[in-house]
Amino acid sequence: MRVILTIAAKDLRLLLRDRTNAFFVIVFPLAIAIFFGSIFGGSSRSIPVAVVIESAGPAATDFANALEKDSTLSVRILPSREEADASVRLGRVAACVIIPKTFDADLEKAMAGSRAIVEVHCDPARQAESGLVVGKLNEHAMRAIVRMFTNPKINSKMLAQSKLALVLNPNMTSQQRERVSDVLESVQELFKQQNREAAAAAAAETSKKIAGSVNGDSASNNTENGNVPVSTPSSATSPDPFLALPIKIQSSTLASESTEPPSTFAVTFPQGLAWGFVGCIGAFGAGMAEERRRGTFMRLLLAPCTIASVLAGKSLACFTTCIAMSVFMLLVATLGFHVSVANWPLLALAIVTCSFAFSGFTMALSGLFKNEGSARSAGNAIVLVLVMIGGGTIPLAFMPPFLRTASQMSPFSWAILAIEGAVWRGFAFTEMLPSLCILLFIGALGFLLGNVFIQKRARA
Amino acid sequence: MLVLDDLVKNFGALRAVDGLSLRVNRGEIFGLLGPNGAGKSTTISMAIGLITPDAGSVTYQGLGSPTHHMVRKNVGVAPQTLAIYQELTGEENVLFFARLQGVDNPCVAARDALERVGLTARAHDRAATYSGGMQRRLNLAAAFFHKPPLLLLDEPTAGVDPQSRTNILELVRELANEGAAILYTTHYMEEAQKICDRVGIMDEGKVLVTGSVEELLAKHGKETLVMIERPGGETRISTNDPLREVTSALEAGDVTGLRVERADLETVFLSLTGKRLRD
Repeated sequence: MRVILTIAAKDLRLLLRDRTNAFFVIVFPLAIAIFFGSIFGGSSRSIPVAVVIESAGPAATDFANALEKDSTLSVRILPSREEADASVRLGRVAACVIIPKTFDADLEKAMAGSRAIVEVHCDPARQAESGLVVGKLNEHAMRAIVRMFTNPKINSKMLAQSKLALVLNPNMTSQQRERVSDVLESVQELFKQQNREAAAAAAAETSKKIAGSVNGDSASNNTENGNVPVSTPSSATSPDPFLALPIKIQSSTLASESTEPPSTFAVTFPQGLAWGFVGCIGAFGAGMAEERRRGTFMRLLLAPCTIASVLAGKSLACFTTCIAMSVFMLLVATLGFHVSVANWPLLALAIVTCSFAFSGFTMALSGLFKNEGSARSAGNAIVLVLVMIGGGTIPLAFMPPFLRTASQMSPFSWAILAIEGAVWRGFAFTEMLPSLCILLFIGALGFLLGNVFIQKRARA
Repeated sequence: MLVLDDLVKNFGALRAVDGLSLRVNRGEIFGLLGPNGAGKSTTISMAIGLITPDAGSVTYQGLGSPTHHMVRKNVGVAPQTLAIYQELTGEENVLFFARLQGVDNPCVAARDALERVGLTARAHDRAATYSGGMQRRLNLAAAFFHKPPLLLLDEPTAGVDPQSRTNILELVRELANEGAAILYTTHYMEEAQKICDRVGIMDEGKVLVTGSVEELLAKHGKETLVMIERPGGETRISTNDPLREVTSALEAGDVTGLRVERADLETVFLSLTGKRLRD
């Protein structure tokens, strides 16, 4: 027992004296717990969406206002669909919603079979977020319809427009026109009765409220935005409320015009490459620490060359591996999964730039840690966090806004964006330039820091 | 060839090397002897420019300071830790360092070095499959393949089998005979006595004394001890002339056993520090 306690005490002392180990035993798990807690327990998770209001009518404005008020969505009103599409392609928003010019007019003729279309252009790489956006739009469409049918002014106008549309419809026989007209008359009568009942109920509610206030009673007010309370028993019993709605959400994925809509692998290929870069970092990140552990670092320092050249040699090996890995992935993607690449020269440029960036990043990691164990464990932890916040593991949809902002600090998010830009986002060179510049900066900074760290270690 | 002048190195509160001065000449093996922690490896690191001394200087005569990497090309080092790549073959290891050094014909240099350490037959095997002694020999080959004028060998025989030890010691002697200046650190006194032309005894960062083995034994070694066993008991005689004492004992007869313990460097170390080398 004495021996066991002595060894345990010694090992605990060693652990506490190695600050890196102590950090990864104590601080890092805490940070990870906070990280996941923020992801899965956060209250504000709005999905960035661009909205273009092409229709000048009140229904379109109401619909857009409803979207803006939805805390699930972070709406950015843009003036044109071109700008909105560009925002999706650049990854700034998960989807763009187009409320077309004919929205109000189509909606007014809803009783005559017309449907108002709302277009949604989704980012194929953000399917989860896009799915949520489409779901939200369906919800708002349903609410808009309920408002429309329960608002006397709107439903009267709608019936009138629908009757007019019937008269002007050349494809209908007089018999069909007569039957539909009868239906509309019945609906009009139903609306009138519903409106009368609603008005009576509102009056009774008001009287009750006045009496309640006189008696000190605090009855709640069920009116919404000055409208009468909404009763939706029919929609509650309907088997599929979206089947014949007058507003239709028409979603599509946004890809380069020159390519077919990307396959799943085209979307996951950039993520795959990001994980390939992670592998390269893992393979070379502990290189210098390994040299020190082996004692060969001394021989390298004694060779007639500078430390910078030793570092350059190591980073060249890393760069070559990154390129080889990318070429292999590309071959598999194009030959095995028929992924079509929108712009080959830009893809080559993106891969070379990413390889440079991650080689530099690897050298910084390599020089940062003194021993091999620290280099491996801490290096892997840092890379894992960067991949996670860069969108490599957890979809951005599930991240709180501050983490989405933080993802811009991750080289992986820029690498994925650049590669996606060349593969299927249809980036022009100028659109890819910011990503490339950031990656080049990361690479250069990595080499610089790596050199400084290793020089410092060599002198220690 | 190598001149260390009044070197001082502190690690925090610990003074690892304290005013160390020595000189190693061409064709000479200078043994730096001392227990573990005496400051030998720190001295080597300063001698090759990997550690900057807090005070004092290191000079390679005719070449300059080892802080310049082109000057360091003239040094071969076999560190105490095996500085080889276990995943590479013996030949690949030496070839890599030869290429790094910019040797004219690295393949020939690597083959020659491996032949001299007796690893030709295993040149294409991975170093990880070598025995401890073979790895030590490979570590040495990676130090001298470029025939440097100065060799720093830090405990080159640590943990090796007797056969490899003999091989290494013979090779070190050959290299010195070819003109290399060799600084050889060890805590094996018998090794130092066997191959070193001069030795310096080091303890607690200081060189206590330098000179040839004979000089040190004469000056700091105690008299030879002759132990004569007779049926009545054992007699111990300290003498400067053990041969005379043995002869007279044998002439007197009745001797059942004889033992002679000559003074060695261990005795010198004990005499100088008051403690045994392996304390």
